[in-house]
Amino acid sequence: MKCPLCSIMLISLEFAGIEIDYCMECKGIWLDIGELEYLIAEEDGDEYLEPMAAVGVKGKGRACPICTRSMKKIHLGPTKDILLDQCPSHGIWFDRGELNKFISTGRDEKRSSRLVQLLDEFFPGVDDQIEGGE
Amino acid sequence: MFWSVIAANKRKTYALIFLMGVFLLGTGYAVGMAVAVYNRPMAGLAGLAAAAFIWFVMLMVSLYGSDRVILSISNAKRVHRDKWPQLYNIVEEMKIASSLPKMPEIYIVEDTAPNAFAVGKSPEKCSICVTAGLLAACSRDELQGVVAHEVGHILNRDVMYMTVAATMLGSILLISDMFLRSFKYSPTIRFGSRSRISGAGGAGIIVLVASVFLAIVGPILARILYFSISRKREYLADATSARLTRYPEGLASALEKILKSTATLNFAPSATAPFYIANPYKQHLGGNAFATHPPLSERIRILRAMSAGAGYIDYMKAYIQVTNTRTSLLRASDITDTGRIEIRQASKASSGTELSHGVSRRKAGDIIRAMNNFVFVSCPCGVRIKLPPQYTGNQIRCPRCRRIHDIPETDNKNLRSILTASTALDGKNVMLEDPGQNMGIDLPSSRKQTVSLLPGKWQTFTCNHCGCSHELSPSFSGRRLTCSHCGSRITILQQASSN
Repeated sequence: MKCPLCSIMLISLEFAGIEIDYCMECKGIWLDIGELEYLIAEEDGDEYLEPMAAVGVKGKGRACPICTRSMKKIHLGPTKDILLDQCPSHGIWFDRGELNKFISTGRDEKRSSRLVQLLDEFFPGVDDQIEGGE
Repeated sequence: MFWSVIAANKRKTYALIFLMGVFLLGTGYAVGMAVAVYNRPMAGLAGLAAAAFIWFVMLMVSLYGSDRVILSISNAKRVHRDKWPQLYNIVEEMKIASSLPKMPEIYIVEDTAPNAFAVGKSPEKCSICVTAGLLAACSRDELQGVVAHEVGHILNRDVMYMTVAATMLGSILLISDMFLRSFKYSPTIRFGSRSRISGAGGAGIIVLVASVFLAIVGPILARILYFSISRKREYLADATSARLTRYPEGLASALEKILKSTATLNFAPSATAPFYIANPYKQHLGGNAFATHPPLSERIRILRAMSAGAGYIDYMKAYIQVTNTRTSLLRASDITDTGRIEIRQASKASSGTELSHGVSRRKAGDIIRAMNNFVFVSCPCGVRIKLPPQYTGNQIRCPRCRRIHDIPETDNKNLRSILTASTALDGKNVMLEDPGQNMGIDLPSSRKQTVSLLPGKWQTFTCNHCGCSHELSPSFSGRRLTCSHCGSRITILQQASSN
């Protein structure tokens, strides 16, 4: 599996029973459809995690790491700030900043969305990482 | 041994080769006639010759190389004893129990859906394939049930017939596909000014209609013929499995896991569908004419209805009881061993743990990764890093806790160890699980410490001896640690989860 941005191989990380794929270069995260369904299934129809198609976004979609077909732009979460790439049959790609935003909006919502919790757990210092860099 | 079944399968194999030949020649001729633009009789002959050639090639392939073809289109990789000793032992056990003349080759299919199949043209030369998903989901008893089911297919010569049939069917699909393609992309229709059948009169139309009919209906007929066969033999292979393992529940619970799994096989072309222990396409095809397998739920019920014993007679009784039919699966003369066969106890090695879909999927993924030479690094913070073989560099920084790990040499000799590997511990920088060599040395009590771990929480504690602080992730599962600074032994008490 290759990163849709940097085209280098993604590494897989398993933590607390969830597996994500991670790009060491751009710090983006790929969430497999299987893992996503696993997380969303526990939410039980939470609208928060219902992907919405983003309209009016121009440019060519990035390549899905699994099938290399171009992904769709979608919104996830309560606001339309976060623009993610989704391959309907394989998963969702979070850019580095997008992940940060997604976690922080999740925190504001004071909701115990398992996806937000997981990402927060996974990268507790995500804010520092963004600011401080490598 | 079901002699009548074996004889019938052999008979069917030869008949099929012959019938397929006739059918193939007919299709080839019709296609040749229809595609012809100028010289029709010659084109018909050419079609005939092409079909004969394809038939011959297919025949040779199906007799001498079909197992390789099927294995490669199913994405199966051969494994030897050292890669998965447990699986090897199970196959060996079943080989001895069934007195197969030769040890079957073992393959693992890189797929997360649980399934299994066998290929080969004779019991002397056959292979058993299981998917990574099956290995991840099944206990030893369940795996044994599945392997014994496949051995049953080998014994009954189902595998021989299926292997030939798959290659033969493949050839028909190929010809029809070529025809439909030529029809679609024919330059005479796409760019030319005249239509293909102009000037040919009524005969041309008839030939065209007939060939379209052949090309469209042919494969469907072939499939109906081919798919409808495997229903009864699945029951017979189940019966063999129960008889060989003396433990029908093993196969029953394996089938149940297959039934519950939501994953579908990625590498199962329609031509190989009937091979599998359970239909890889799930049950969405609809229509009994296309069903390659009897319903799984029924097979499970039959196996569970075998309360009296594990013999063939017991299976037949359970079959009649569950399906409510009068027709028996076998002639009475086929059942040679009528002695009572006791059902054995579940083996101790079998863990009765039910894996959730997510867990077994991930485990299956790990098996596939290990087969592809991924390197696994466990960080003490609880993250397990899986590096692709393409990853260059000697070190990796854990993205979570930012510890730096050396990347070990790929050592995936025993694939099964991947399944049992604990999540934490390899971190040489901070903490080590006591590898055992210190066990004999008696440390003073000041260098021993016990820490209770609360479920689901991060735990921070200080080493009583040197005062350095350690943190343990909620997913830490070890029992003992050694402080990397002073070598003190720390015993971890895992408290039971309150919920």
